[in-house]
Amino acid sequence: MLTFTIRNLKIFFRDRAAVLFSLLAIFIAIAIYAFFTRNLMAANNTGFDGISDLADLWAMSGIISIMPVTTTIGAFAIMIHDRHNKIFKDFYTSPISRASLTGGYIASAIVIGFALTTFGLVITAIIIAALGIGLPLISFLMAIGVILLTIFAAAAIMFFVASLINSQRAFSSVATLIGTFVGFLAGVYMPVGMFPETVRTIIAIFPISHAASLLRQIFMNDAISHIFEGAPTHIIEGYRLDMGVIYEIGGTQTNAAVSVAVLAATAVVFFVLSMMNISRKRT
Amino acid sequence: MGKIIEVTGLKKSYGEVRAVRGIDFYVDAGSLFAFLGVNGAGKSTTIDILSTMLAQDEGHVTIGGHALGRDDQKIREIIGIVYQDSLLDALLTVQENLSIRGSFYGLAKEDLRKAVSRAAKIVNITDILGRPYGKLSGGQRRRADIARALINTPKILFLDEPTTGLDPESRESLWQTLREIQKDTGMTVFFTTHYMEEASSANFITMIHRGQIVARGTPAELKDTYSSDFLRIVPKNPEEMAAHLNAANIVFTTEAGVFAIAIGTTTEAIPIIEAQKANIASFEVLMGTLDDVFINITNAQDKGVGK
Repeated sequence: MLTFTIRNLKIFFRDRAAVLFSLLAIFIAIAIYAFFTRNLMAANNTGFDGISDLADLWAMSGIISIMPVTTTIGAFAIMIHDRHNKIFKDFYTSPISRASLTGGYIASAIVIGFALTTFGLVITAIIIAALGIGLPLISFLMAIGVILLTIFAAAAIMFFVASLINSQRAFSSVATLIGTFVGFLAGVYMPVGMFPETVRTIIAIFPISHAASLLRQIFMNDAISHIFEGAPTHIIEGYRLDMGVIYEIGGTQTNAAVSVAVLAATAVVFFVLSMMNISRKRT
Repeated sequence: MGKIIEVTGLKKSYGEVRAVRGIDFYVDAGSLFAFLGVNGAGKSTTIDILSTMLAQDEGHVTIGGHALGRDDQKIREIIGIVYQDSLLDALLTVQENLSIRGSFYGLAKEDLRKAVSRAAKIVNITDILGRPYGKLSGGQRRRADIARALINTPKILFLDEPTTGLDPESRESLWQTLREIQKDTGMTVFFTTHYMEEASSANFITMIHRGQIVARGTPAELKDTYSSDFLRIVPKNPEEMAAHLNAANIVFTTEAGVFAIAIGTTTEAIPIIEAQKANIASFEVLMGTLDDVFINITNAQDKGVGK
């Protein structure tokens, strides 16, 4: 399984275009924020000092939260490619277990997702530092933990999608769709508060939004309590809800524990679904 | 010589399409075995079943003493397969491809390294081990495919239309390599083809048509049974030639002034030529070919089905 995982990694990283496309989503997200959302949010400035710094941290958290999805899609493209081009015939007629093969695809997706998302974290951290916003090291360590958990969830979701699709073209269309919508669904391009009630609920129940929520808590909580010092609680809570630091589902507010649970449950549920799907297909 | 593959009553359908309709055959250990048929005859389906890729609907198969469907893992350890399509990774070097696929057989690091260089040496690709597979020529790729199939020193080497898409020179050199492998290692080589000239180099041919076995034998046996030699004469005086042949009770056909006479062996042509020596403008004696066998059998089968 280790050699097979390394094989997938070599194929992925040797295809420069594939690596670039996996990172494209974050460059687009950064551009959308820098040229559009940032100005929009500055116009809505509520008059608190340093609130634009908070917006930058909000953007950083959101962008990192969707990277596990956009990067693992690229990793599973190798599995689709192997199936589409009948390369799996060579594997299935060798004395390697199918579990090792499946494990190899998932392991390589996790490694690829983690490597590229961490790279994204470094890039955004450099930008944030350049903007003069300092962040403690512990925040980054915690963020890496959240990234890891999110990658398990995203890899499970993408593995499920990949187990449903055989054709390479269909998969790349689905990948483009997911890559585009995940930013909206996780409230990354626009703050959650700008959407109507129904959309807010959809965002709140979308698993990847909880990665965004956790990262926002890590990167923004200190700054929020600092900037809103002495402000009434309802203003602070309102801001946290509007920016998707926390969500409200049916009148109840989410917290870090709920978000962690949602991500963990997503990983387990989609992994089980994929396994069922794969064993059903075997002839 | 023992039987290394035995197939009885093998059937496989894809929905309504009955790809393999109950076939029986065996392959002698150490032989060069040709599985011959037109496109869509059921060759690839049979290879997919024998290689543990596809489960049969009915029938019993043993490979190297292991029952297919029960000991698949053991079968996978003793076979090597060269597929119709290139199935190595284009972005990786030949060396990487061979090491990765070789790792599927549980070889320890040092053994794996040796297996790679051994396989590369056999098919003569040692000089291109460092190049990406995707950048190789068709002939080089095929050699790399064969090296991959040889990585576990298999007892049986399956090749599914190995020379399709190769230029004549690469094709010939590939066959030379395959014959050498078979001779040097005593490996059983099972290949499918729709090229007659390739089948004729086999020790034994089994011919499949529309999912059924329609002929089997050595190339010489098949030629004897299903084709005949021909004497073709262009006479100076056609009436005289016709009269002579009719009088001697010799069956013939004529086409554009050429008399064609089927003969059992080429020497049977001598008395006919002797008798009409003065009347012959030109003549030729043609030996029956496997192409005739192929065409005769498939035509007969198709007519039978048509009825």
